[in-house]
Amino acid sequence: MVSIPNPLNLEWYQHPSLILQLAALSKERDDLRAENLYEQDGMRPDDPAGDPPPEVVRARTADGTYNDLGCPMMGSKDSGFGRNVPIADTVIDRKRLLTPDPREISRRLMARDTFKPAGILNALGAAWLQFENHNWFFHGDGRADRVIEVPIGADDDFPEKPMRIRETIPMRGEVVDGQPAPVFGNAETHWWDGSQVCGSGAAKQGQIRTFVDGKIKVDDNGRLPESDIPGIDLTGMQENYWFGPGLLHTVFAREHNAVCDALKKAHPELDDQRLFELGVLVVSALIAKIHTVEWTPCVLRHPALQIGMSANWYGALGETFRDKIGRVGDSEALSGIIGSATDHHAAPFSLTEEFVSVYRMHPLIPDDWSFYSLASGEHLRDAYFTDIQGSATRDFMHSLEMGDMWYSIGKASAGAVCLHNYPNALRNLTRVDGQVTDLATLDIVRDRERGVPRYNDFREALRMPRRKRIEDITPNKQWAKEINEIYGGDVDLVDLQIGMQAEQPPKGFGFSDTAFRIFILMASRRLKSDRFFTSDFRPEVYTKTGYDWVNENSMKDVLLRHYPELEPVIGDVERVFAPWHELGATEPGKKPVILRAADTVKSYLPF
Amino acid sequence: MALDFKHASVLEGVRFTAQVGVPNVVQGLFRKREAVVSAVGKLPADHLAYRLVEGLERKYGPDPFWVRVGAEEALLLTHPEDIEVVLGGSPSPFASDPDAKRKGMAAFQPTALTISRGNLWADRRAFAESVLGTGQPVHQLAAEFAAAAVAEADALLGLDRPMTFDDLNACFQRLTRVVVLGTAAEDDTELTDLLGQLMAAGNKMPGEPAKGYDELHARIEQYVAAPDPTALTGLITSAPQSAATDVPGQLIHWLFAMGDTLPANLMRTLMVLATHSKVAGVARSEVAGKDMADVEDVVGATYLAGCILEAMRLWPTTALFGRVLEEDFRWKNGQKTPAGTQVLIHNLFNHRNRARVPYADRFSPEEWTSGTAADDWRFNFFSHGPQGCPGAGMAIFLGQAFLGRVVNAGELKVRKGPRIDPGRLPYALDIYALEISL
Ligand code: HEM
Ligand code: HEM
Ligand code: HEM
Repeated sequence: MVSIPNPLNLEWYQHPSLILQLAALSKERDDLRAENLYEQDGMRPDDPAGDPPPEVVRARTADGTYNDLGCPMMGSKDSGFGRNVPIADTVIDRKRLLTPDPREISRRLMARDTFKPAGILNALGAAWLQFENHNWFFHGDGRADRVIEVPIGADDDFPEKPMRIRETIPMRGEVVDGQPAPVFGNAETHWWDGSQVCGSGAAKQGQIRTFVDGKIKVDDNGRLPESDIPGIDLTGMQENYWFGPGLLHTVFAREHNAVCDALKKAHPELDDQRLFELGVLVVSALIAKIHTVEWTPCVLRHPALQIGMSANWYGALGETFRDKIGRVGDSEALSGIIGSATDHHAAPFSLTEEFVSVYRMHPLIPDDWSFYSLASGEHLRDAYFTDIQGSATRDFMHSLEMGDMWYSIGKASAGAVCLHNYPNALRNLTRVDGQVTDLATLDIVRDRERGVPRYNDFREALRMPRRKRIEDITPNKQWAKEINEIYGGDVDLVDLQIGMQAEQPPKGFGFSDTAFRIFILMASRRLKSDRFFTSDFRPEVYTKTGYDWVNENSMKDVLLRHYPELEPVIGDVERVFAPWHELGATEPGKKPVILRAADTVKSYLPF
Repeated sequence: MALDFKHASVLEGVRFTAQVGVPNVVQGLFRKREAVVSAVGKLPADHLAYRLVEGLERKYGPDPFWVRVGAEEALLLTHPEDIEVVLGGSPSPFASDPDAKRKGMAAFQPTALTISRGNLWADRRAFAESVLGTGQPVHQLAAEFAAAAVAEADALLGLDRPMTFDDLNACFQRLTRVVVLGTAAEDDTELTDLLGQLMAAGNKMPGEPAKGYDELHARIEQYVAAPDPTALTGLITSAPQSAATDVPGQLIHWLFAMGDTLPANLMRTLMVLATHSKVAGVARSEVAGKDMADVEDVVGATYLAGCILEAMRLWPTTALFGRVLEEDFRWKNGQKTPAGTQVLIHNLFNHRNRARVPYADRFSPEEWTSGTAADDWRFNFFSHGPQGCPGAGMAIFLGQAFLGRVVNAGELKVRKGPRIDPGRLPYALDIYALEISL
């Protein structure tokens, strides 16, 4: 990579031309790869001795072991989260765990006053992100007898006093005040392996699988079966369930089964286990592709990224070229990451605490929902988020046609990730186990508890300039004033979540540049470290049928395959993660309104 | 874009047109022309066609894929699942009257069941099933038919020279006239000749009835008007029909299917019996001591039935057939195919698919009697589904009676014809180049 001089110390998006922006970004990522990947001792069990058995070489394992054949435990279920900041910067300050008061922050800075739409991303895009998070990480359920108590004031109507937040239990060691954070474990596999659909670990997968022809359980009506948690579908990841993930888990379970059918058709000799493994490989790669080339460019609608993210997957030479010619030498820049050589850069692969933090994008969720008939366009009913989630999910989903729910979630805008836009339904959330939580409070406490640096330290660790004053964080004067009041004017105290939600994102972005830094590093890393997206992304491993399936399909294809009734609303749409048009809004043969609208729509900018 | 099937290249389309599409036209869609069949047979055109489709299937299958036939792209089906969708969905939305077929058939049977759509098809189908006894264990006139088939076998056994296809054909034309029209028609060879001329005219795909059609129709109508209780005409008045059925028009298909298609398949079966001594042995022991006049004996000759079916699998008389989509159609995996799409089923390849059929090129009648061949939608010499051949049962029954009588009479010998390797049977077997002594 040629290094471009940068005498003015411009941020990548401040460069005057696309080429320079691309080059600056590319350098940014190289630096991040070299300097922002850390891990501690004891992240994962010792590797087993001996040669790997054939069944772990040919496909993904249930627990994520043997993705790296030389380091079999890397990225496996229950192994530790790494860090993007030096370990020395993860010091936990227990004395200030509740300072400033996180519930005050939730009430005065985060609570949604009015709904601020993201404009560029629909509510399906919001559900998609949670669906993906559930593919990647989960810190576990904690223990009822180890809680952090957040005092609740007399004037506060929160139903429980104090609010109890279960501590995150370290995988080894304990939290020691003033010391760097211990390692916390990931209850999911770290890999992009579709575990939210098929489950992490053999025991969970055993509940999901039918053990016939590689398929997983879907009932005769094309819906997921009931689980032993009331109201929640039986699927790979069942936390924080609502109808959005419900739709996505259902369609990808069906996609898995469709892939298994196609594989069996082409290879009648394959047994249940092989078909299942291949189904997982194909669907997880398709999900990763959709995330990289469809979802991301929708939230990050910056011209440089439209190129950058496609280049990530296909290479700069573009899809058609890749299809025709195959990979060009070993260059990731030319041919994309997919199918290139595996590379872990500065540290073995794991997801990181900081990665989890920047994805706390709960403001994407609307509180108020409207449902429409796909057949007639007629408004069917309204619902508050509380009543379409958790234990209410299945009853709600059975009260509507799938097509109506898809249409309604596709039409709705996601919320903007910014201050004063945190869904109030999540600020008073009764979870299926009975815990009552203000998730905004929890988001603040979690970062502090896990030693994720506060905003300015976080930026410094990423070589982004520290902000000298709170007014420098955000151009919104009112917000700056409120932040000043809460944090007593101390810019270094400002929590990461607050800084990110106050920041003005680069043009076209659905979230902050600070979050984006972690993202460009980790997004590529999830692909680049994974043998099944790099050296083993080939027909010999996926079968030709599977390989073609990944290459040829898109989210729209997946939707139309299982819900052809969506054709009138998405048949002519290019981006399914941008808000869909009204039924009948497009005339046959005409470019749909949404394509023009999506390119010109102003996302909500509180600046 | 992705919810579409794969497309074979333009170059592959040129080869497909030349090696698969055109030979089927050249050989005569409706009346096989002797000279041409021989010439093409020597080229091993069928072998070329097989290899071409095999390569395409490997590259673009197992899902249906688009291949160019002349100027148009058509969807070629190779997997039984997809074939089941199409033939299970005939005649609607998969209509069985692609342009070429309709235009050709218009010459000699413009009102035929096989090119009818919608209610008209249902009306004519009900008529055909009733008279032909489709799906019944035995036809109500089975005893008469067995006797007629045995009589033709005896006539051929009396030949003092080896039998040619023309001999067999002539016998079956007579048999057909007796079975369909009644004993009064036994010697009406003029009617048969007239149908032959009209069918030859059909090869030019005129799109309208050829000269002489009215005469043919009128002649058949006369037999219908004077029904023979021992023939199919005797069952017509009690069969469901309407003003739109056009009864004489329906019988035309029966006449050529039984008179031409059936003996073509039996000729090849005889060739196998003459060259596979083990097969002939089993067949002979099955009918030993039976004169084939008893309906039970005929129906019980299941191995013999397997032999006929197997010859039809190996050398289908319908090498390629098609459907045309009436409306836009979405396939199981979401692929969407527009109205007007031509769908092709290439029996020649599907029946011999080496990758999927373990006995592809061997004569294996037991696959029909005790194996799974009978349930396999890959084999479509009789087609399958609602529009499958309604005369299949009758065709096999006549074949069983005829062959049972012939094998019982002694050993068959090929006097003229190609040498064949039983382990690797050829893709084409030219019936005009064969002489067999019975
Ligand atoms: C836009 C969609 C969403 C995104 C991107 C998102 C993201 C996240 C992330 C990154 C975490 C941290 C996970 C961890 O510490 O391992 C989290 C935690 C959590 N999320 Fe969400 N979430 C979304 C929607 C929701 C919804 C709709 C609910 C509730 C129905 C929910 C409930 C929770 C809860 C209860 C936790 C806390 C787990 C804990 O640390 O105790 N999330 N979410
Ligand atoms: C999200 C993760 C991204 C990954 C994994 C990725 C991957 C890469 C890699 C590995 C290289 C080659 C560097 C080298 O070979 O030394 C590269 C080059 C490049 N990347 Fe990306 N990239 C990402 C994001 C972006 C973005 C966001 C942009 C544009 C805004 C971008 C634009 C470029 C350009 C223009 C080059 C070529 C530089 C050259 O001429 O060598 N990339 N990318
Ligand atoms: C061995 C001899 C026969 C063979 C190989 C044969 C083959 C076929 C095939 C492949 C079709 C389907 C054509 C298409 O859909 O394009 C068909 C249809 C038909 N066959 Fe036969 N057939 C034979 C004998 C008979 C006999 C003996 C009769 C009547 C007596 C008959 C009557 C019909 C009729 C009426 C149809 C049209 C069915 C419809 O469209 O619903 N066939 N036959």
